[in-house]
Amino acid sequence: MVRLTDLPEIDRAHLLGKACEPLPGEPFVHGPRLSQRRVAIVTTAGLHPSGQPNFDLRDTGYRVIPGNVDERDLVMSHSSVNFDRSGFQQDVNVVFPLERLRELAEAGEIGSVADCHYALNGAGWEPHEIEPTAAELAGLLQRDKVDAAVLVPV
Amino acid sequence: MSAVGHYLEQHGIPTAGISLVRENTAAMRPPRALWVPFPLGRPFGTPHAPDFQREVLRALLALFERPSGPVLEDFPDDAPPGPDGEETDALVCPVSFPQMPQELISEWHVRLAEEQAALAPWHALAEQQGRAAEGVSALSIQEALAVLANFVAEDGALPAGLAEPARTLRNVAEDVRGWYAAAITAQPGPKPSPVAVADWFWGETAAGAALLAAYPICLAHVDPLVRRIGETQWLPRAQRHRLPEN
Repeated sequence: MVRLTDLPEIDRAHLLGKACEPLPGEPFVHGPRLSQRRVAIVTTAGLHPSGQPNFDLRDTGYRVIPGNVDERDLVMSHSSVNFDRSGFQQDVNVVFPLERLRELAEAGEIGSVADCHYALNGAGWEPHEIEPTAAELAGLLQRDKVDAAVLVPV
Repeated sequence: MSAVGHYLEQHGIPTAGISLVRENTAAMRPPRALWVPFPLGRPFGTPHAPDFQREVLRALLALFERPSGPVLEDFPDDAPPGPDGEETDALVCPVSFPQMPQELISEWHVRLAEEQAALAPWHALAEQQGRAAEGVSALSIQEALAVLANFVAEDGALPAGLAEPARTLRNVAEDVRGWYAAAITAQPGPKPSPVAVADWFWGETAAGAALLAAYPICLAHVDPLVRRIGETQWLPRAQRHRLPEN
């Protein structure tokens, strides 16, 4: 079990000290039943195929993870050193559950898996600074007919 | 992550996100969120636990069926043990690191090379198991450790002949930590917990000692990018108590 209260005081204070004001408006987009949805993963784990550029501190760009990626080729260049990497080292699905998503698609629980997934570096920027990147990703996801994005932090 | 969800949704994409810090998610009110009681870095709980990972994913996807939001739901279960049993916080590393003669203790190249050789069989096992996902520096582990040893032994010497030596230094640190984590978690039996892996690396290995020794060198470095890397991307907050002034 790990909860915020289980973390070292220095980590707890850092996390609770982050500016977490609600953003304006409360957008909430509806869609079809889950069994008909096309699902993509958007991760802030700083993941990417090994040939793509590493993430930098304060990097608000994104990397593309093809749906047919060989998970063994994924590396993590997230700029923070304050979270565990050993789980990812053992099993990428503990961070990026692409195999689990494929299984749910095969079982008919979701409609399909997107052709592409996307990764961000979830550190070093203020919430409003990621808006242009999110807008660009939304366009890419719409072109892939994605109507469900699962967001996975580390 | 809450901001990503907010803006994607604002641009027409329905989202549902994992929350690792419930307090922050509750404050930011993203459209749909599932809080999970797992360690930072493990949003789906346990490595090699596909049934459990699938349950977490199902709980997350179920939020798409909610008629209105914002939604913040709690996942009810703690992460279960993996296939090798409960993780242990009391890591007893069965790797016998060579004991260097006192006059060689400052010889970082020797210490790191010998340690790497002692761990190499476990890292090879990790590779056989299909993982070992370090590789952001594009250097071999031997080359990466040599860069680290040079930096510490020669008071901040950066790798020559590279376009971005400071970034290479940062990526070397990432790869060294990853290589050691892959090696130690490949050993048979119960896996070390995230805390055990971090405490072992930073408290018991020469590589951890080298990174600790490099920390003040980074902070005082002539290159501002190295200073920034030292300030923000080098030493985990939870390991700062190992610095000499503490």
